Amino acid sequence: MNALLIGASGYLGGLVAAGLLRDTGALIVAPLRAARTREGILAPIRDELRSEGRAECIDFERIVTVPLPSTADWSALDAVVEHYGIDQIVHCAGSVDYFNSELLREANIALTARLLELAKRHAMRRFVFLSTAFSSGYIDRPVREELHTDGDGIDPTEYTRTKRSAEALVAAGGVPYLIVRPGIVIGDSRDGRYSGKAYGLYQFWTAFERLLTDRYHEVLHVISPRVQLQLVHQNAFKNAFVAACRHLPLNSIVNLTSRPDALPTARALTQQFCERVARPQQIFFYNKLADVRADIVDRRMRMLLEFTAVNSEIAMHAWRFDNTALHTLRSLGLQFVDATLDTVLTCQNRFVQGSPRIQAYLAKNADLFAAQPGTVEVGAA
Amino acid sequence: MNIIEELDRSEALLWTILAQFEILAAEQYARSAPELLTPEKQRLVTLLRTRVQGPPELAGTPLEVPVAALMHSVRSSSEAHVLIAQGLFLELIGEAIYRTFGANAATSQPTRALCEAGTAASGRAHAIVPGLLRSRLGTGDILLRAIVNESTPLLSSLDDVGEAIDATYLDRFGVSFADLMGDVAAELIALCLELDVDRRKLVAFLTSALMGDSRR
Repeated sequence: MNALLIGASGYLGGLVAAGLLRDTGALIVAPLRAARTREGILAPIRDELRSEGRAECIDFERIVTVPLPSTADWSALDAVVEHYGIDQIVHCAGSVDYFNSELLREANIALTARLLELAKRHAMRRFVFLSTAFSSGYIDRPVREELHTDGDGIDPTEYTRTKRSAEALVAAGGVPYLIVRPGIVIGDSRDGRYSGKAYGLYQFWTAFERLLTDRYHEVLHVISPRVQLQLVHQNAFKNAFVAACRHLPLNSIVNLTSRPDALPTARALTQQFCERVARPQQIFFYNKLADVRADIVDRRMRMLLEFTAVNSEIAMHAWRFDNTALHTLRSLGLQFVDATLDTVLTCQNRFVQGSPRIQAYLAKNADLFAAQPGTVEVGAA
Repeated sequence: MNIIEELDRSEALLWTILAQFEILAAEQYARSAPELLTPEKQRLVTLLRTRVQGPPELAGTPLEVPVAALMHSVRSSSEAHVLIAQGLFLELIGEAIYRTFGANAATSQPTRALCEAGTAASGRAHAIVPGLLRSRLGTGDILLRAIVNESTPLLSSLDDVGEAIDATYLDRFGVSFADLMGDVAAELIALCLELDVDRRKLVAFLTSALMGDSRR
């Protein structure tokens, strides 16, 4: 099926484009904003496929770029759909700007509604929507692979609510659909390469790099409860997204999350980073920001804690997921590498090796590092 | 009296940079926010114009490119931009720099004297700017939206400046960019909370803007 791919210039959209190029024969038409170029979106897709040794056998002419019309002139896409014989929309655009209500509504709801109208006008065969594993908000039971009911959970930010609303629009849009809900996508399990922004774990590593590598800190304060982080490697995401498109029946919803018995906790990951990179003499572990005593933490350390805590709220919730559709895809041959402490270490090592500041920190302070940091637990579990 | 030739190169560079930014601030305030062109600011700019002249040039130093990018990010003369980028962010950064270098035992007497004038000027701006933000731009989410719009390019360019500052000043004075930004972020958050900006939203924005891209 030829696809109109929305969001190809983004991190996940680029992975989806690479997966569709690699595993299907589809023509991919990618609308681009005026500031973007075809070469600009092709470069990371080419890199992704090259790193898998697959770039040589891919015909990159199968990606066609067209100008993204303004919302006032949305009908320009009708001609594009007709011209290229597009029979599905793969919608990977959206906002994760948790507190920007206007942008969240526009990018996650209004854009989805416009795309659904386009799909309906052309009687497309499918509308594939990239959602999030967290669209339910906080609920006290496993997240099922079905539509969520509004008011059922607690939304930590408008992000989860707008994603849930968009899912409801897709399901009611009159076009057969597939909703894909990934957890937090991190680097490739094999070599750690990562081309996304500094969210989640990467935000903690980046915050350490930018705020604490100028000198050695004997004591580190970190917020890291013993809660599993719902991490998904980008290679697992890419494989599973394409497999879902190929094998799942119409009107399916799939949660893309790693096996719970494999997933590391936030605590284990932080400890791994502290023991291998930061190497303080002592680590104070907190479960939440409110547990941190202002009088024992300097302003800079407090900034590290605040910066890493706010955007990690959703990740730090104790999520549980129904993975029936993913089990089906695995049984059909899907290669889905679960995130573990060891595979995340691969990503951590890549980050550390690519950071001149951390490398300088490691070289400069080697004599000061603790063989094994002492740990202090603060606050209730 | 020009002090540049009395100072060691790293201090001379510091004042060359600060003079550029303070003179730009004074010009922008004169056009768009005259309340911030206080007597303290005018005195500081006069001191900088007379005492900071000639070399050293930034060209060829690690500071050249990031400082130029930072300067470029704050050039708009719209009222909102001047109040937020200059009046809020750069004044807080200036205040942290003046306070830190002014109290540093390794700095020269001329530097400490200029830092005293700088601390007075930025401290005065710090006292005035919340009222201006409230009356001209609003409070709460409306103000936050303006902060996001007007400060993102500035914040995005700060990381490179920080690296150059550490390369130039960390060994000589024991001052790192992270030290300065810890103070700036704490002051900024406190000031914005007084203007009813939601703490979580502000911190989430600062995190994204300051931590930037982490492509590997």
